[in-house]
Order: sequence, then C-alpha cells, then structure tokens
Amino acid sequence: MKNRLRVLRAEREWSQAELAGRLDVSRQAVNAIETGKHDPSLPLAFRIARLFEMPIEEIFDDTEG
Amino acid sequence: MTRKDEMFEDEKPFHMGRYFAHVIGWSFLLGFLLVGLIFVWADGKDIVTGGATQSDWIFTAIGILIIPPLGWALWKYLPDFTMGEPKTPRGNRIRWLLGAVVVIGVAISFALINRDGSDGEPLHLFSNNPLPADVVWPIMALWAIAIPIIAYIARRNSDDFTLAANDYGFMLGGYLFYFTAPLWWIGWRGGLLPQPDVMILFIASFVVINLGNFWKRQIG
Repeated sequence: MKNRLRVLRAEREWSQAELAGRLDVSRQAVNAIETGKHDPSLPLAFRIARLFEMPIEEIFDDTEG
Repeated sequence: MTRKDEMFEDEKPFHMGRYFAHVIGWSFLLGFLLVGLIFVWADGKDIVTGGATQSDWIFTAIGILIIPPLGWALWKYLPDFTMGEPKTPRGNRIRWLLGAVVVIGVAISFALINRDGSDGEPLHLFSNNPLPADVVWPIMALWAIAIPIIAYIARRNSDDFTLAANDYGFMLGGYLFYFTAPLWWIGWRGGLLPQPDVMILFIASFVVINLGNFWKRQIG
C-alpha cells in the first residue's frame, strides 16, 4: 500500500526516530511503513492519522498502480 | 515508495549484517567464558572434594586463566542490543527479556552439566536418552513458568511491525508442524517412517519461525 508518511514527516522536519517516538513504535517500523514493506494495523493507522491531523485515506492509498 | 538511494542517512535501514557479526563474535567470547566457568565449576569441584586428577588441575587452571581476560573483553565489546533503535522504556524491557532468555538457557545447561548420568557419562540435552527425574523437574518447572511469562511480556512490549513479523514467522512454523506431524505419525503407524521425534519437530518449527520473522522484517 502506498503512503505519504515520509513526505508528511519531512514537512514537519521529524526524523524517523522522532516519529517513531511519537507513535510509540520502533524506527524499523517507521522505515518499513515508509518503504512499503509493512502495512500498519488499523489502530496504528489511526494513531498516525491523529498525529498528522488528517483522515487515514489522505495518508494511505490502497489503489493499485 | 522511497528507494534506498533516495534516503537520507538517518532513514537508511539498520545494517543487520554488521550488527549480527558483532553479536555473533561477542557470543563466541561469551561461550568461551562459559566453558572457562564450566572448567572451574566441574573440575574445581573434584579438587575441593579431594578426588582430583591431573587433568582436573589443568582444566581448573585454564578456567581461572581465561575468565578474567574474557570477562574484560565481554564488557569492553558489549553490543548495545538496540539494533539502531532509540533507547526507550519499551525497548529496554525487550532487552531485559532477551537477557532473561540467555540466563534460562545457561541455567538449563548448568542443570545438566552439574550432574553425570548413572553410567558416569555426561548428560546431553539434545538426546533421547533418559535423564534423572531430579534434573528434569527443575528444567520442566523453569520452562513451564518462564516461557508463558516471557511470551506474554514480549507480546505486550512488541510494536506493530515486530508483532506482524512474529505472527508471520509463527504462522509458517505452525503450518510446518500442522503439515508434518500427522504425516510423520501416520507414516510411522504404517511402518514406513521411524517413530516421530518431537524435538526434531520443535527445532524445525523454531528455525522456520525465525527465518519467517527475519524474512518479513527484511523483505516485507
């Protein structure tokens, strides 16, 4: 699944470690989501959406291609 | 998705190869230290009880000589075990847990090393030979109490990504057991295969669980 996490993070000038701390996950987890290796669970997706104050569908895109 | 060559330095995935080389090298040192402790424990016991042979003295001396430098090297080259993660309370709890797993492994090994079999031969964990009940009871109790607690704490303190990788590994290990165990058992009943060995199934599942976990972390 594609996502805009890296862009949103960069806009706030947060490092992966800083975002990981805010989400209470490991840096590996942030890295894996940004690189598309891992799709977050629904609770984590909601935490991400709340942190960036955006709807989930504006961060994650499940369309093909 | 972000390609590796587009990443900033602090975004790059953790270098697992270098980290594992460090941990494996350090584990070898730890292994040698444990061998030294075993020499002192097992052969020194014979010296104290008065039944020492020349080899008991030699191995005790070797143990006493190698323990201090190995202890120093282990302390100096201690890996931080963070795998590049910031030090957080959750990460610290997981590292304490890993330490507990090592201590349990050493405790089980010592329970066996501390005793000889009735024929005077050493007791082996990975064998199907009988073990004395007084050696087996503490090991069973340790395993039965510690493993559920460790599994519970590990699960409570794992993040989304780690849980997904663990679940993937356990799914593959579960499928392996689910597929293989009845096949082996019915094959044995029909006289086509040797008697099923539960430890072979355990170790094979353990290996597949960890390979699956590693695969999920690296490839996704």
